[in-house]
Amino acid sequence: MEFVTPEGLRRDGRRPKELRQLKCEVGVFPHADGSATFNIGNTQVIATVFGPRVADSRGESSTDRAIVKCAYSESHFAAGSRRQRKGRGDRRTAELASTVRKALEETILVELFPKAQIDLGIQVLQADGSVLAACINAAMLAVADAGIPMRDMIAATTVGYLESTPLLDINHTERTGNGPELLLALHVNQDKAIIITEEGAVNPETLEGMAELAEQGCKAVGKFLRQSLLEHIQRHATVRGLTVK
Amino acid sequence: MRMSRNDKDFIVKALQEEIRIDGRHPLESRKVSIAFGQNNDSASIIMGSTRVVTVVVPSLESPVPDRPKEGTLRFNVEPSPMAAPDFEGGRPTEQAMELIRLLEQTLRNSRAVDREALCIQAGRKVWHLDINVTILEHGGNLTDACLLSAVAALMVFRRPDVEAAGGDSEAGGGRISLLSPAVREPLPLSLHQLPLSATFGIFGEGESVVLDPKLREEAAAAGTMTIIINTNSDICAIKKTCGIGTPVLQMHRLTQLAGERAGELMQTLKAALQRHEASMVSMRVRRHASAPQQPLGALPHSVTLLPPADVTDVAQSWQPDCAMKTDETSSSGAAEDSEQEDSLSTGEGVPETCEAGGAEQSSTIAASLQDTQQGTLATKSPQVMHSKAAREHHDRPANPKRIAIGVEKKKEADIPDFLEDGDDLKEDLLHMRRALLSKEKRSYM
Repeated sequence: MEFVTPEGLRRDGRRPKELRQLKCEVGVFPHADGSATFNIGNTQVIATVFGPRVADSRGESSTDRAIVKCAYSESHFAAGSRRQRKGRGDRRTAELASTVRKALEETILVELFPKAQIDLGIQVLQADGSVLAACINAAMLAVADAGIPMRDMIAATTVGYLESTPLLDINHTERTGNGPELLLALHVNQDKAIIITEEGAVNPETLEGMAELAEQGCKAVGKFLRQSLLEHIQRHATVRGLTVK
Repeated sequence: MRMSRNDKDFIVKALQEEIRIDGRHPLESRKVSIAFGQNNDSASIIMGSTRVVTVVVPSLESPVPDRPKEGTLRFNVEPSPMAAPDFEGGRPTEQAMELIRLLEQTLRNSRAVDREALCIQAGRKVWHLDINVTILEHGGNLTDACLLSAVAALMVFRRPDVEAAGGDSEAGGGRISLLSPAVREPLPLSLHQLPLSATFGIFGEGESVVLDPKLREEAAAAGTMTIIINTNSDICAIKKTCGIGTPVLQMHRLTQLAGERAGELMQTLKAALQRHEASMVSMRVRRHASAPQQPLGALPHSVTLLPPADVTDVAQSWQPDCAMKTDETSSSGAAEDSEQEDSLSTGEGVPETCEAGGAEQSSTIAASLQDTQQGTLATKSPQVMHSKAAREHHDRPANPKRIAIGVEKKKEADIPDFLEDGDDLKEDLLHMRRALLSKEKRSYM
């Protein structure tokens, strides 16, 4: 399959360094402390946050920081194939959940809430590539909506590499090309990588190019997330009759 | 592992002066020793106080429906409760789960193991390998230890050869026979690439980095990063999922260092494998009682080389007139004789013995010899093996050096010219090289 045409267009008509359309909504579930949906192209994720509250079991809690728990599940209709996914409990899901949890643990100021617990719930409604990145972005928005203090804004994207072209934000079709895939989650203001995972053989020079593109992508996503959070706050403020600069 | 704040501060502070708790240089790794099992199915790794054993168990199974031409691999990591106080039996922990995923990613999804070569009859029977990694002692850096032991076990692993008869099932076709190691030399796996990892502990605000952290260092570290490099010096995988953020540039620097480390591990692994093969060859050698004892590994000219023989086979060749008999059968009917019912072997793994046809008398001898023959320590036997059958075996592809694994000699990673003096990376590479040179003199716990 040809993933990049000679004119430099991808299968869905994007340029190699182009993100898919970003869309998000903050505060979608009134009963949760924080919630958000995040769409990137056809990938669609909902995240909810409960807490910080007193930890369920004292054995797991820590005396100097809050613990973060993450429940990740993928809807049966999320992916194109009809294969029955186990949803929760299989290894891939467990790994995704633990990655999101660790990313947020490093971002939230957990030291401020000793003996507390923060519950993250993540539901993937549609999976069309870059799922983990979308989960991290959605979780960050939900945590921000819950008013939990964070060290920095976190933003994540993936970069693939097919036909000697680094491709930003790859979708499901491009994933079937079995090329290397890099996921980067960045603290956008501090410019520090929280999560880096790379799969598939790639030489160091190529990786450098991919990492650079991923960094730019993360910053673009970060800008969008910041903008949406600001708009959300502004809307809230107007409702309450306050003004925000 | 839980650790007191004082301990943590001590480790972090010492590192600021480039001192580690066991006296290593920050970019120096612990000594690795690798041992292989006598049955060519296992490898154990000792890295400081980390101990990991991997056993590969083959079995014949039906392929998964959407990949009828591919064998299957299943990885399992079991942290034994005796390895560390915080390991408990029962459900796999998150850490074990991540290790399993890493092994799957680097050895299965990356197609490091040629799975099509594990197919016997498309859609019907394929080899299934269970790769069981057991952590016996947790002394830090489990990732490197688990991956190295899994790779070592896959490199040393030999599966029995099979013969699949064609034709329809009614005419006896479609039967799959496992050939005993005596009849046909067991086959190695074909490995396309060998991924090896380097794990770094990140300390402070990400400015100091240590290679191959031990358990206490891991507990004090602010984060870790694992980089997996294969024999073509390509990056197979990077995993930095926990701990403090690092600048992206740091990653490029660490990949350079990881390349060196992978090369070093590959050399250790190759050397260990060579030693193991030499010892396997010398175990198969039988000589005159009067002949002087040869040191292990050396192959004198006058010896007869035998493939690893199982009990009945040895019995056959011990009896000169019966050896003639087997000689006849070995060319025409040995395969048939050693045939095993498909159903027998399914899910059973490798059969222990083969039915030796045409040698009823020898099977009684076999029974009586069973005690002495356990482990077929033929070097100790006073008998001489000069039967025709033995020579026949010798002509068969019994060459133990027939290894399909593409162990390429990794070229010495040179320090690139474009690095200037005083460059951090150049300093690090020089340090690593120096550490390597002085390594023989010291060993660490």
